Amino acid sequence: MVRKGRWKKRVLMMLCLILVGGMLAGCSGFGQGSAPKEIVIGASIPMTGALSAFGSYEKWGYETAVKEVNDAGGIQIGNRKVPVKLILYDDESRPEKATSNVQRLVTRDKAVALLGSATPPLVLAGAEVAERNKVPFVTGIAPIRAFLSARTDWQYVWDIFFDELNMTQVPFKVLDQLDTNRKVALFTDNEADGVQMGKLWNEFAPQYNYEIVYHASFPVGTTDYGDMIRRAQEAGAEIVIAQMITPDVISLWKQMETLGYKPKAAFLEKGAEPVEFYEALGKSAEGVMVSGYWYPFSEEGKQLRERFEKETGNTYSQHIADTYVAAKVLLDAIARAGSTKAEDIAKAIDETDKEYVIGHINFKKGEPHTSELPTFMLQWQNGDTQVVFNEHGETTADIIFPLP
Amino acid sequence: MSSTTLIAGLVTGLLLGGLFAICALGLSLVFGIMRLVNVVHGELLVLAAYLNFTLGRWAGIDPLLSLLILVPIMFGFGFLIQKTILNPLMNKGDEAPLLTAFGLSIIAQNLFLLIWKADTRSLNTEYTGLGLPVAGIQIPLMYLLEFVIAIVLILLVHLFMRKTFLGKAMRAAALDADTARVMGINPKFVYAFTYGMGSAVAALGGTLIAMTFSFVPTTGLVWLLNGFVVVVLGGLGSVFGTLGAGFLLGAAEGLGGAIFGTGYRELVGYIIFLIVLIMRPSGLFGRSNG
Repeated sequence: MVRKGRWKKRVLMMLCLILVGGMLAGCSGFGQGSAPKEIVIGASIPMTGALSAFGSYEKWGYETAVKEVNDAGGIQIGNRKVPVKLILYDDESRPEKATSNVQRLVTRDKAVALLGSATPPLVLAGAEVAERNKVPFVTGIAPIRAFLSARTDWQYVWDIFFDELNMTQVPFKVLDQLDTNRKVALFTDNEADGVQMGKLWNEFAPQYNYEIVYHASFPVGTTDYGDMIRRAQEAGAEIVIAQMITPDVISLWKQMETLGYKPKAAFLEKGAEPVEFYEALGKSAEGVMVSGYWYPFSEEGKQLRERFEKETGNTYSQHIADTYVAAKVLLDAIARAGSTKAEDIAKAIDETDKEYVIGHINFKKGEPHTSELPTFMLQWQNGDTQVVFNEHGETTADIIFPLP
Repeated sequence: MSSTTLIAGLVTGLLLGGLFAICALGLSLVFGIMRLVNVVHGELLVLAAYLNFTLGRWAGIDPLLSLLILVPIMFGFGFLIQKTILNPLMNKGDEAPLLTAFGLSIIAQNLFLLIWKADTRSLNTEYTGLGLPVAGIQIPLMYLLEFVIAIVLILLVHLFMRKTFLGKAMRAAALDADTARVMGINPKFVYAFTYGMGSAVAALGGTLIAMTFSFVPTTGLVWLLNGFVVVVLGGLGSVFGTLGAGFLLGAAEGLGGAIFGTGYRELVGYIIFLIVLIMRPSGLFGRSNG
């Protein structure tokens, strides 16, 4: 009987210890008012593979935003400032890798919030994991329609980028100022944004009195584009609109030159945006146009550009801005929430209503969980992109037309 | 679709098949002599492209002229890889050298990234963008060049294998390494020489890829897979088979693209590949084991 009583006491003590331990663990770092040692946020980005051009800008954008916060002492959680730890994994430009990386960030690294990858296939792969696990996730580099094509009931994911619905109309608005035969050849790859934008261009062309005389859709990584170039030539298209990744669009442009196909105007979306497009092609890239959503017009923008170019030795890209802002929006939200609880951060992100270097961010004005960036047209001129068409503000150069 | 488009697709595809054959030749040689599936071959192509890119940046040398420097360098590099890393594993079963080559491929990709970053690169000269109008068809100069180079290269390799002592030694070592050793042939030297040859040919292939298309650190995988198709289609280890299969695959893809559209190029190529394998499991020029 005595022994039985002792065992009962021991079991009760053990239970008490477990309960107290559990309560302490529950309080350590995740509750409002008590501060964790660090705030872990993470992202899976394409540091290698076909989309690595985006990854390099993205890495800088995210790291710069986090560094600014840490240089200021961190984020106020409870009664003290907590540093932010940013974990970045390489998704190798593969959606399945992006999925496993984000899963790892959530389960192993215990990231309290996440940032996105680049382009819809990679962004959506990670976003789905974040949504399932109820971890707040802010991203750029995912056009809004493609982002919403995956689901419209996002609860924990927000997107800051342009809306293809508006962006796909910009080339036609530019063309209306130019003298062409109004015949368009459309080259779109089979990524989510390629499919989406291909549909929209087909829809808008007749509305602007343009004719899509040839539309080629093909897998990412295609090497030879000869047959579609010849068909576009045969159809007499003086305008080329394409949505392709950088390595592919470089190959396409080289082959167009080789086959003697020189349209009067070319809009090479996505792939022609990074500076490596111009570096790989040199002068033959002169005059190529690509839609833009950020240009360092403002003093703050100029400073961001200068910082990037000074720190990396590379020419800037607009992707430094949306990724930097995505991280800033997330970090600001954590600061406003004063908590690392997912629900608190999510609520704070959703209530964002602030002017950033890329423009005003508000997730409640347009489509749900998105903040649209207005688009304009950029053109490669002497190794730099110039704003040659802008409905919303100033331009920086006259358009080169026809293609030299 | 006009008949010109069809013919243009067929002709340019056939010409591009030359590049397929050049890129697959190194794989074919290494497999034919050593029975090694050299999965690092794609990275050898990309290494050559990067080295040529760097030479062009530093010294402004034309990419084809750079080959005079690059081919010996790549030969030596390949020779050393085989001699120091793969030769010690050659008698340890099929898996050890295969997995080592796989490891080398991953290391190489990471080194490319470290040294040259992930940016897309391309080799451009005044003539890479040229095309020749022939009977109403615009032929890309680079495709034509690749076609001619492929024929000359395959003939040279064939002659080397048939007429020189080293070539005969390579064939002997491929047939029976132990007997070849008894006859005074050093199989390990032959293997290193073969790997060196494969790497030297990769110098040519990588340079032509970079001049015709674009490349990133991971480009090797695409060309490795393409190379496997060519090697298997042509018959494992058959030099002429590699050339024939390269042309066949190129023509099939070109014609497929012209008929069904760019998105179906590879599909048509792989269907042809499967049909040939069903009808001739040992490939077009391979000797049947049966």
